[in-house]
Amino acid sequence: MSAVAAQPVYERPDLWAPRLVHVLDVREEIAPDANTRRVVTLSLERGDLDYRPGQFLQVNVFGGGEVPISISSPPGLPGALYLTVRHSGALSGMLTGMRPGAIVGIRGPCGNGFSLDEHRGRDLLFVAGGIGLAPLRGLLWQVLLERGDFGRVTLLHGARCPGELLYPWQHAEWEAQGVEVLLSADRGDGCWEHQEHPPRCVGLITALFERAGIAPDRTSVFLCGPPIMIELGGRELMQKFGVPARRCMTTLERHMKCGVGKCGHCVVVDRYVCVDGPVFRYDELLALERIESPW
Amino acid sequence: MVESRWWMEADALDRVLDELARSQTLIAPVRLGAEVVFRPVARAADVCRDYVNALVPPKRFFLPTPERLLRYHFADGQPVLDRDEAEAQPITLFGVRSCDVAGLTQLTAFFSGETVGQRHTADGPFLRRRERTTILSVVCQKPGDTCMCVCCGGGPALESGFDWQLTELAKGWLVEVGSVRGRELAGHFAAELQPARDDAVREKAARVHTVVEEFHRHSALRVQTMAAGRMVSQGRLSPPFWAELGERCVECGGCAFVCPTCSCFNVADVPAMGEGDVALAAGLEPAAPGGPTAPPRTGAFERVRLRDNCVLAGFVRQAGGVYPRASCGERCRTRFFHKLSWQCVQRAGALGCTGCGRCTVVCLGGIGIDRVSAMMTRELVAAKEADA
Repeated sequence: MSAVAAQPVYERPDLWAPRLVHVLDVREEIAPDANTRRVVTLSLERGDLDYRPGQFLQVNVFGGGEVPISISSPPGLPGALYLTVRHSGALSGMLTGMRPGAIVGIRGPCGNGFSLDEHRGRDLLFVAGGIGLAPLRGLLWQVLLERGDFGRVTLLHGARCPGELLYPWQHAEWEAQGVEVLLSADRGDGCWEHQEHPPRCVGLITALFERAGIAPDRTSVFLCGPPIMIELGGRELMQKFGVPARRCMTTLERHMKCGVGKCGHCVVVDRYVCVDGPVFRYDELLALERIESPW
Repeated sequence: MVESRWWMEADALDRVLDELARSQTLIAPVRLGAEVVFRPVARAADVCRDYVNALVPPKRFFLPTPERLLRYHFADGQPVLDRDEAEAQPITLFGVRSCDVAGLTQLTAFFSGETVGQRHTADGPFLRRRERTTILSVVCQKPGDTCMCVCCGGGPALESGFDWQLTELAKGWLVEVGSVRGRELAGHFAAELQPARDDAVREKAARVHTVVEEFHRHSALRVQTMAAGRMVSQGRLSPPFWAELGERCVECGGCAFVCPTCSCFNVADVPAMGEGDVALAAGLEPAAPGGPTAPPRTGAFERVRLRDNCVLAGFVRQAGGVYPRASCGERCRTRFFHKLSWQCVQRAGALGCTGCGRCTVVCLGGIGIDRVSAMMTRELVAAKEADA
C-alpha cells in the first residue's frame, strides 16, 4: 500500500462533478390520479456520452440532490437520452416537474448494463412489470436496431391497472418490427380487458408465460419489475418452463448516493448494485439469497 | 513491505517531532481528560506517550464529515458549477496504532476503486487527503483490555501501510521504513538515524512476540474469525439469531463511526454557509402529501458527504416505499457480514475488522464484535452437536 500512497495515479477529476445538460423535451407517460403517481420521460442532450442499455445515470436536480435513473433509450439513438421517471419521492418529484430548457446534471453512465453479444442468435423474452419496462426499453430498442441478429422477440408487460402500462404508444411500432407484445393488468378497468389487440389478460404477468410459447433452450429472458415479480416470475420461468437461471437477466433497484461503489447504500451481501449491477444473472441472485434476500 | 531499518536514540524522537510540527501540521495523540484523541500539536512535549489507543480512529482526517464534494450557484435561474480549490497542506500523523494503519490501508484500497475492481472511480477527496499524509505508526507494547488485533491480522506490528513504523526499545527507537515517502523522510532526518543493528531488530521481534503471548494468555476477548466467518459466510445463522441482535442494537451507529474500516456515507445538497437562502432551503422539504416541490432558482449550494451507517433505519429505504432491510436485525446482519465474511475478505483482501476493539467499548447493547463472534461460535458448536 505504500506504493499506492506514493503514486497519485488514481484521480479522476470528474468523479463528483456532473455534466450540465438541457432538458430537450418532456413527455407525460402516465398522468397522476388517485392511485398512480405521474410518470414522465425526459429527453436530455446526449452529447458524446456512450453507454450500454441497462446502465443508469446519477441525475442532479440542482438545489435538491442526486437520484439514480435508468437510461431508457438505446445507445444507437443519436442526439438524445431518454429517462423515464416516476414521481416516487422529493427529487423524482422535482424531475417530473421539469420543463424543456431546464438544466440538469448527469454523472455516469454507472453500472454494468446488459451485454447483448452473448444473446445474439437467440430468442429474447422481455418480462417487464410496471416502471420496470423503463430500463428494458433501451435494450429492446437496441435489439430492434439490430433486429436481424436475434430470433423471436417477445415483450410481456404487466401493471397493476391498464393505465399504468408504460409506452402504449410504442406497441404498434414494436409490433411492426416483429415484436410479439402481450399485456396484463392485475385488474381491468371495464373497457381495456374487452379490447383484443395487443393480446392481453387480467391477472399477474406470470399468466402470460403460457401464451408466450417459450423455447427454453434458445431463449434469453430479461426480467425487470417490482422485487416480488422478479422473484416469483424468475422462479416460475426456471421451474415450470425450464429456462436456465444463467439465461435469465434481471436488474435490481436500490437506494444509492454515489453510483460509483463508495457510499455503501446499495450493498446486497457483498455486491454493490451500482458497480457490480444493476444487471445480475438470476443464478447470481439465487446464490446471494442464502445470505440475504436480494428481491 | 519494510524496505529499511534504522536506529534512533531515545531523545531524537522529540527533535524529529518538533521539526515536523514546525514544518507542517503534526497530528498526534493528546490526552483529553481520561481519553486520548488525535489533535494537531505545536511541539513534541504536547504529545501523549503513554496511551493504548485513541478514542476515535484517525480516519476522520481522511473522511471529515461534512466534506464538500461540489459547489454551485444559480445565475439567472440556471445552475453554474464553481471551481473548488483543493487543499493540499501536508500533514504527519504520529502515534497511529497498527489496527488503524491496517484500517487505513483498507480504506485506501476501497476509495481508490481497487476493492470493487473499478480504478477509474478513484475518489479524489479521499486520495488527496491520503496522499498528503505521512503516517508514523507506533507499535503497541501494552495492549488494552478490549484490544483484539492479534486475532485479526491488525497488529501489534505490521509489514506495510505505514511510512515509518516505530518500536520503542530499551535504549531508543527502531524505525522501519515502509514507503518511498518514508525513505525520503529518513533522508531528511539522516542526522538522527543510524542503520539498525541486528540486536535492535531482534529486540523488536521479541517484544512483539511477548505482546502476542500475553494476549493469548490473559485477554478475555477474542474475534472468533474462523468459526464466526464460517457461520456468517455460509448463511448458517438463523433469522432468530439476527432478530436477537436487532433487539439488543440501539441503532446509535457508534460501532461504525468508531470502526477504522467503515466508510459508508450519505450525500446531501445544502445551502452554502452564509450565502444560501435559508427560506429556499426550508422550501426543499417535500411538502407531503401534496405534490413536488420546485427546485430553487437562486442561492449557492454545496454537495456534501456526511458519515452514514448501515445499521441506521433510513440507510436502505427507497423512495416509493421499497425497504430491503426493514428490521434492525437484518441491518445488523449486513454489518457483521461485512466485518467477518469470507466473501468480503476475498474482495477487500483483509478482514473487515482490524481488532481495535472500539465497537466493544462504545456498544450500549453489548454486541461488540467480540460478543457477536462468540455468539456465532456457539451457534456453530450447537449445529455440530445437532449433527452428531
